[in-house]
Amino acid sequence: MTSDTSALPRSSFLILLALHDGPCHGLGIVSRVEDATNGRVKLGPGTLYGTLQTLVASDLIRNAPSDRPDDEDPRRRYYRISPRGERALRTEAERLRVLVDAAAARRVLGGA
Amino acid sequence: MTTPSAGARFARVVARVVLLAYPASFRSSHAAAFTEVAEDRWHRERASGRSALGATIATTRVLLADTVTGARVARRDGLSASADDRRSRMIDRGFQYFRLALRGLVRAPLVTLVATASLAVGIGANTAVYSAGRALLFAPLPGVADADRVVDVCRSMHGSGCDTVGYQTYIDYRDRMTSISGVYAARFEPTPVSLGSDGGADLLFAREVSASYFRVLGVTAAAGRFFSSTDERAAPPLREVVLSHHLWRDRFRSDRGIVGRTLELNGDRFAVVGVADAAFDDASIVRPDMWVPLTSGGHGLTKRAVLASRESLWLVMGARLAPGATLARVRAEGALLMADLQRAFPDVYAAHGFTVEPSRRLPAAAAGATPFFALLMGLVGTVLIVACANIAGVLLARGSNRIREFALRRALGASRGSLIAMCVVESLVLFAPGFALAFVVARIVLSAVGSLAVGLPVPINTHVPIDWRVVAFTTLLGTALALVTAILPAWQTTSGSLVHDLKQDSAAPRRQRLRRIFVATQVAFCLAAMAVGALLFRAAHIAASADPGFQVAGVDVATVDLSLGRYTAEQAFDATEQIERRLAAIPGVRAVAASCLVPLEGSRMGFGDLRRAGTSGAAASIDASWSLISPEYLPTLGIPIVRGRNFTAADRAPDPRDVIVNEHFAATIWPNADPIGQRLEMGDFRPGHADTIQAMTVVGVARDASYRSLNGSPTLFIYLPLGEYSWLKPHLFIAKTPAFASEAIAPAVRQALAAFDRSLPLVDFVPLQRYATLALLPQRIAAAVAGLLGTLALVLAAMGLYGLTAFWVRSRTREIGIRVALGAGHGRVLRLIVWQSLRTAAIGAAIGLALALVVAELLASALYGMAPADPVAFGLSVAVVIGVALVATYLPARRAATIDPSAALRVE
Repeated sequence: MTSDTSALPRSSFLILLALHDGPCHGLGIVSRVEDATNGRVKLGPGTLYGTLQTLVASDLIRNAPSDRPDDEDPRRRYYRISPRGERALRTEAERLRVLVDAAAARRVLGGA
Repeated sequence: MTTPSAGARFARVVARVVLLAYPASFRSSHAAAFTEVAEDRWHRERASGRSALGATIATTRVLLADTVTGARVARRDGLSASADDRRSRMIDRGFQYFRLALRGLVRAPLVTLVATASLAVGIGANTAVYSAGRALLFAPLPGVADADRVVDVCRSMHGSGCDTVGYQTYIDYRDRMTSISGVYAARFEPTPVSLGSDGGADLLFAREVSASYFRVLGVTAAAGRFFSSTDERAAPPLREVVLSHHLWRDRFRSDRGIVGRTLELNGDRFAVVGVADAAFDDASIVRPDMWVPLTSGGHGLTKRAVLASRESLWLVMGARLAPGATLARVRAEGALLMADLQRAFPDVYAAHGFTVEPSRRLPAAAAGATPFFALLMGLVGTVLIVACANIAGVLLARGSNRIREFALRRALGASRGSLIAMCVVESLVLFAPGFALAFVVARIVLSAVGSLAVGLPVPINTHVPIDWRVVAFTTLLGTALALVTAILPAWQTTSGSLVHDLKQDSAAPRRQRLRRIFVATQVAFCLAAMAVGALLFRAAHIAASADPGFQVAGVDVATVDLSLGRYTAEQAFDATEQIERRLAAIPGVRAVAASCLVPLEGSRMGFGDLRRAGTSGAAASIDASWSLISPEYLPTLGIPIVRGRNFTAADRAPDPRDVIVNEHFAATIWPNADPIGQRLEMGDFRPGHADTIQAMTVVGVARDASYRSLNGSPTLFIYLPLGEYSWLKPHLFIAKTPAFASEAIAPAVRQALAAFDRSLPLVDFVPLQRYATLALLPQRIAAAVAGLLGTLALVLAAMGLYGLTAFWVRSRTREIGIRVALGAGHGRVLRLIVWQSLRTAAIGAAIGLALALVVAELLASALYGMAPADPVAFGLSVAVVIGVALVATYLPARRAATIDPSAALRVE
């Protein structure tokens, strides 16, 4: 996957964004994504784990050991973002900013 | 997490189901977390302020939407293929086809709509009609022990039919037949009785049966037992009653204590001896509330005097075959017995014969129902054929359009098996909603037919269970159709040359010809179904609106039995006249008349013998029906006197007797003479009976009307003055002014009767309209069903035709593009395409028309008073079919002709 140059799928971008804050398990990612988008994006389990699987396969995220094994379910798998993932996230965010700026310059966003 | 609620548990179940759509590798590593996230989704929705149900719905929606994207994402990296075993790969592929098919449903809404509606209606209507037909005509009686050994025993007339018998005939069969182990007799129609209770009287229906009835049928008692005697002729009349299960359940709350108590029926006390089993509720087309012995002699029930008669034919009879006896043996023995009876009573039994038929819910006596059901079955069969033709047409057209797609798939490595599997899954998914909806349609059709029976004078049992054999058969048929239409296109491609198929575009001549044959076939089927439906609908409508020849609206029929008030024959007419006068004084009553018969009720009275004065010999005998009427009768019912005069109050003296004949009588008996003043003789013309012969003079001719039933065939009919005969059970016809309803007048009628004589009960009070309704029942059902099915066939056919034609034209978009690119004008291309489609449709229409004419000829007997080649029905059908074909051709053709040729060339 040549994630450095092409656009990231929305769910991939949101998951990378969630993991940017620190390692997390699937359920936590859903929660973080929902917080980050003011509840607009509700990640379904299929999209979540399907995307996680793809991101692991393309080394944008990696499986992480649980940092708090005492109070969490041992079955839960933790993920953390890889350096490659951080780069992809930044590239995508910049690409999006260009698009948003272009829209803002044309007053698409109204009073914002 | 919080405690698992039902909604959260449901979310887990949904999650487990949608997980099946994912590759096995995904499932094995993420299943637990997957369901946890799904459950968490429910809690989140709940936390955002939704109700438990709202949260469940929202969660389900998210999970389903998520499956479409998620499953694709999950297999993007190809992990599944490397990690999975063969079996799970197969399952995965099944689900892949399933999703593909689901997407196909949404993407081709017209095909989905045609398939779903066609299957639902085709299978649903067939399930309903064949279930009803089987239950009423072919299935052994429910609630009866060894029902296949129970037969209807009846009288044939001149070698045909299955009709009622007299009580003495029943006794002869009962006592002398050895090939049957028991015989019962019953009055077919339940008699209305009033059940005395604290809050007044309730109208219920009792069926009069012989004491042997339940024993012969082998019915189980839900409580108590059946009649105590096996011979209903016991010296003190048997005043016992057996309750039906539904009456016991609904009115007596299944109280076992009711057994041994007494009920007051028409003022007489009957002991409750038992309750019949629930299954027996459905054993007959009539649904009595209770059974009483034939010989109870209770008020309003059969008089014991009738039992002595051989001439009055009023009982249906049934028997159980003796062990080892066959129908043939019973028939042979019965024929011998009938020969004996004919020797002993030649006058009574001359034309009679003996027949037995297996017992069915609809008795063999109701032979008119069989052609009616045959008609219905033919009709729904036609609907199913149209449905199949629709689906096959649309799917085959689509299949032939996909030959390139299949070739491409094969070129990319798909095996023949996998292509066929894909098509089969696709068809089954396409058919599933139609199968499911078919049950809804079946229930709707059954309850619609049942609701027509509401408002009849006797309770009719319309409860018909859906027959699973019928369901299995129609489903099997539908599935077979699905498989054929699915496999055929796939097979066709996989057997040919790949390169050839890949290169071939859908406008190739061979494929065009195939599609034209589809369209023509479809048009033929559509037109045939539509024409037959329209024909039946029109025929039924004409029959239902037929004029009975007398006024039905606004007339009520009150029946009294003067013998209950201990009046003698001599007093009968005076009493009748006095009641007439009292009823006429009720506000809102316009006129009152009396008669011995209610027209359309189905009964008929025969004379001793009737002939023209001065003629003799068997050929002189006139087979006429008659009625006794008061002078007010003809004006009250709006039957005009076309010649001569009506009866007058003076028509009471026995000599000379005046009569009025109907127009048909006058035209048949005196074709070339003035009927007024002609003389007739009535009585027993055998030597030694001269004193019974009465001379009669025709004083008037009345317009023809319907008498016994509504039908087109004219009847010889003769009216006699009621005042010259003694009639103890008059029917009083009460014509009201339009502002008064029957219900409003009923209490006043009761009061007027009570004021005349308190001991005289009102036996019956029914609007004349009800009798007309009953007489029209077959026509009404036929009209409703033919209308419904005809409309459905029309809609289905129009949809199928549109779908197929539109498909055909759209597949020619490329050809149209080429033509336009080569310089053909839009208008010219449009004309060409429309003209070619119409020519194909016209060929189909011609074939369909011929088909419809053949079917119409077969249905001729059911087309009451109509020519089978009805120009309205056929013209309309042709117009609709050609109209639909025109629209279905024109719209897509116009679109194809107006788009840019370069775009049209790129299509496919």
